[in-house]
Amino acid sequence: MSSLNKQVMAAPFKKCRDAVVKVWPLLPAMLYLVGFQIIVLVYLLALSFSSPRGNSTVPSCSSFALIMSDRRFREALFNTTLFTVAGTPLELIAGLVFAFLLYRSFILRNIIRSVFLIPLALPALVTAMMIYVLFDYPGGHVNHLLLGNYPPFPAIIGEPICWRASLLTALSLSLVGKVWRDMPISMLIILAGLNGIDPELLDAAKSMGASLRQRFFRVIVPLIIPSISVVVLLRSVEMWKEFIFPFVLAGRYRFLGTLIDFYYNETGNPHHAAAVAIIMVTCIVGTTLVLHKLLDVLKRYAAPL
Amino acid sequence: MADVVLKSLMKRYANHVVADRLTLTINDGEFVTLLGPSGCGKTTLLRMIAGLEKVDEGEIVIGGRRYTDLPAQKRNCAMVFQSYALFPHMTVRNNIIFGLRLKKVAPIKIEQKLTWAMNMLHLKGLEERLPRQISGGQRQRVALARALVLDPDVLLLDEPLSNLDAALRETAIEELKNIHRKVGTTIIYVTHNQIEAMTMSERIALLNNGRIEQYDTPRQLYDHPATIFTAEFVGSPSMNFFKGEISIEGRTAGVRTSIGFLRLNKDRSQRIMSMEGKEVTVGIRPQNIYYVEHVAQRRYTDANIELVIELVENMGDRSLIVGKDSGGTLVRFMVTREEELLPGRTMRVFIDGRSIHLFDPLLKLNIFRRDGTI
Repeated sequence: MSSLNKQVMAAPFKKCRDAVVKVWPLLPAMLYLVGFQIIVLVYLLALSFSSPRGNSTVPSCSSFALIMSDRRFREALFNTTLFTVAGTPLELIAGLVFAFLLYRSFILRNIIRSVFLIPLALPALVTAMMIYVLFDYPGGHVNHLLLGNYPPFPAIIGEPICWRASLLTALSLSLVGKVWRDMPISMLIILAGLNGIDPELLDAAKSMGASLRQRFFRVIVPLIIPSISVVVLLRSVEMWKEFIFPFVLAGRYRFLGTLIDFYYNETGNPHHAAAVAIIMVTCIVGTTLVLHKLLDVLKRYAAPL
Repeated sequence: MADVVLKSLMKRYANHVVADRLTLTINDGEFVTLLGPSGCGKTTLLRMIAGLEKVDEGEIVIGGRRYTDLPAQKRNCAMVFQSYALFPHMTVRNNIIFGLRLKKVAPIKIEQKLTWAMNMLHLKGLEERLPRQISGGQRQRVALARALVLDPDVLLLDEPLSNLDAALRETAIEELKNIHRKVGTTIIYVTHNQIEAMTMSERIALLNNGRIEQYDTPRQLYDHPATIFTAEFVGSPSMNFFKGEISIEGRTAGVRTSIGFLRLNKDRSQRIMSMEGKEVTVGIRPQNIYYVEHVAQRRYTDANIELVIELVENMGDRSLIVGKDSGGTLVRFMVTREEELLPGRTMRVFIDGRSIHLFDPLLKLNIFRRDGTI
C-alpha cells in the first residue's frame, strides 16, 4: 500500500480520535446528565403515562385526564403562573436595584455586599418561618406594629389581619420570601454584568451629553442584557418549581409544587404526582423558549436609539 | 471653538496631589499637548476639563464661560478616550450620531454631519459594522468622528494613538494635523510620547508631579529647556548630564567638568563671567556631540574629548554610542550608520559650545533664561 493510501485511510481514524479527545473531558458531565436528569425524566414520563390495574401498571393517559378535570390542579396552575409572572420581574428589579447600589465604590462596600448575601446563606425553610412569625395571626409582629403596639409607630388598623387567609396576601407573602431569599443571586449576576462595562463607555456617553437616565437605558441596559437574560431565565425556572414558600406561607392554596406533594403523600397516587411534574417541566421549557425569543428581540432592538 | 483658561487648579486623591495649582491658557483654535511621564496628572487634568473629575480648587473657563462646576453633559467638550470607548452594541453609524441624537439635532442635519465626518475620516462603507468588526485604526477614526460631529468648543484627546502600531500612528498623526487645519477646533492632546507631542502641537505643557515644568513651543522646549526635568524628558536619546564649575580661561568663561573644560560661545560666556566658581549641572544632547569626521570645520568653541567606545546601539539610520573618557565618565552621542564603530575602539569627539545647557543644581533651573536673565 502506498504511503498516500495509508494517509487517506488514516484520515477518518485521526478525525474520530480527535473528536474523542475533545469530548473526553465532558464525559463526567454527560454521565451526570444521563444519570441524574435524563433517567429521572424518563422514569417520570413512564410513571405519568401509566395507571395501576390490579397488581401491575398499564400504559395510559388517564392520569393527565384526571388531573385536568381536578379543580385543585387548575387552581395550582393558575396560582403558579401568577407567582411566576409576578415574581420573575420582581426578582429582576430587586437584583437590578441592589446591584446598582453596590456598583459604585463607597466606604464599607465589601462588608455591605456580604450583608446582602446573608439571605442566600439561610435555608429557605428558615426564611419562610421568619416571615410566618412576622405575619402570624393574630399576634405576629407586623400586626402588632400596625395595631400601634410598638410606639411611637401609630395604629393603622383596628383589627389584626390574617395575612395567609386570602390568595392575594398569601401569594404576596410567598413572593416577599422568595424574592428576599433569592435576590443575592440576581444581584450577583447583574453586578458581574455591570462590572464588565468599561467605565470609559459611561464617561464617553456623559461627555456627549447623556443624562443619567439616557446612560442607563442607552448604554447600561443594552450592555447587561446577557446578565438580565440569565437572571430572567433562571428565576422563571425557580418560580415554576417553588415549593417551600407557598407550602409554609400559602398552605391553603395549591401550587404545582405543593400539588405534587399532595398527590404523592396525601392521596398516595404517584402517577398523578408524576403527571403534574411533567406539566411543570413542560411549563418551564415553554417559558424558557418564549423568554429566549423575547430576549433575542430585546437584544436586537434595545441596542441603539 | 473657544479659548481655555485653567486657573490654579488643584486636585488631590487622599494625600496625593495630582494637580498642584495648575495655571494654563490655551488660545482659541490652538493645538496644545499635555506631555509628561505616566502618573504626572495629565489625564486627570483632561478629565477635569471634560467635567469627568471634580475640581478641588481653582477655576476652568472655556470661551469666557465658567465651566468649573458644570456637569460633563452640559459642557460642549468632546473627548476621545485611550480605549476609544466605542459603544460595542452600536454600529459605526449609531456610534457617530449618538451625541447628535441626544442633543435632538434635526435628522437632516444629522445625516449631513454623518456624511461629512465619514468622508473626512475615510469611514465610508463601514456604517453598519460593529466596533468589533473594524480595525484599531478605523476605531480610532470612528471615535474622532463621533467627537467632531458635535462641533465641540474644545476637543480633548487622551492618548488616542497609543493603541496603534508605529506605521499607523504616523498616518494618524498626519490625519490629526490635517483635521485640525480643516476644522480649527481647540485641541488638547494628552500623551507621554514626545514624538507625537513635538510633531503635532503648537505648544506643549510639560507636566511633572502635577506641576507644569514648561509651557512652550516644541522647538523652545527642545532648544531651551527651562528645567533639568524638561532637558531630560524631551529629546531622544536623553541628554548627557555632568557636574561642573564655572571657570574663566583667558578672557572666556566656560565650565570645568570631569570630561574637560567646555568653552561656551561668546554671548553666553559673557553672561556667566560674574559667576566664576559656581557649581552647575551641564547638559549636552547626544546630537550635539560630533564624531570628528562629521564636522568639516571645527569651531573655536568646540571642546575636544577622547573616548573609548563601551557600547554601540543600532537605531536604524543612526547608532547611539556610549563612550567612556579617561576619568570614567560615560558620554552618549550619535553617529551615522556608515561609521563602523566597535566597542573598545578609541575615538575623538567634539562638543558644540553653542549647545551646552547649564542648570542650577539646587533649583534645577536653566541659568540661561530665554529672556536673557540669569
